[in-house]
Amino acid sequence: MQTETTPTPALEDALVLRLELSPPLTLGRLATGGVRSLMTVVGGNVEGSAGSGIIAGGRESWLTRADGVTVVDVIYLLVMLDGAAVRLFGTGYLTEPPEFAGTRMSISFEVDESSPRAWLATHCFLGERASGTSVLNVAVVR
Amino acid sequence: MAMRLEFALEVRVALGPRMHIRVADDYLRGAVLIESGTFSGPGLQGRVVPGSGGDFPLVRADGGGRFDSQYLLETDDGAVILQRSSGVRHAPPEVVQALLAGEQVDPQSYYMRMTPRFEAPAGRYGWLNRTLFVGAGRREPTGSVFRYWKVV
Repeated sequence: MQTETTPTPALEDALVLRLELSPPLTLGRLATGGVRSLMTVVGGNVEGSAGSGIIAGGRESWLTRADGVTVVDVIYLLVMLDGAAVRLFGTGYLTEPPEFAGTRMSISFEVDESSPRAWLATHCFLGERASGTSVLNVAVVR
Repeated sequence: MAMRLEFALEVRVALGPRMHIRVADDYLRGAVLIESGTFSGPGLQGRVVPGSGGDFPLVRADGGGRFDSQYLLETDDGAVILQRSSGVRHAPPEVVQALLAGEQVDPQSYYMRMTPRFEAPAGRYGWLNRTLFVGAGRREPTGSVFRYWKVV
């Protein structure tokens, strides 16, 4: 098998988001499976290699299945100190020990293509938030 | 950050002809059907179900872009697994041109990363339903090779 030429990805810390979230609102059980819950982002801040800013809005939606796994979808709107808007969207899983205690997700960004942050839109990212905290650590996949 | 990467599987696919849908001057949707393929990794091997899907990328003006694929895997012991993957490819313009022309290109010369997700039957393969993955890919003249690492 010829495998030696595919690059091996590496993770590098990129951003830290400190989120302020509303209490969860449970929508209920869906006919398509799982229990849907929603949270609104009411504030927060971001800092890292893409600059600093605030979290101007967003929401999280959680779908908890009968296998105990919760599928998490998030969208956050960041407004950086220079006024630029950045859209972050992620999807992943909330798991419990013996697996990771918390949420891990894949993350993508939308930014102005001519901005100094254009690299955010041309890379894959992973995020990790430990249970009981509202700090999301975001790593770029190199 | 506690995340580490552990190799999970390699997927090799043969691709059909590339099609394009020019939705607008600045919005080009590609379509490539996956004709066949195989996958293997620790505790996991089988084939790509022929005709079960493809890759439907948004193509940038310079040939890079964001891809979005969906197809089925079938393990040697008969489990069917849905794989959905989104990712990014970008490179210097001359590298993209060579890739699009189907030439052999050094995979270290471009960025092709993705985050596949799986829906697998509960049981032996249930861990795929709650595990985050990251992958790297390379284009070959007749297909693509993807290697996936699980986040542990």
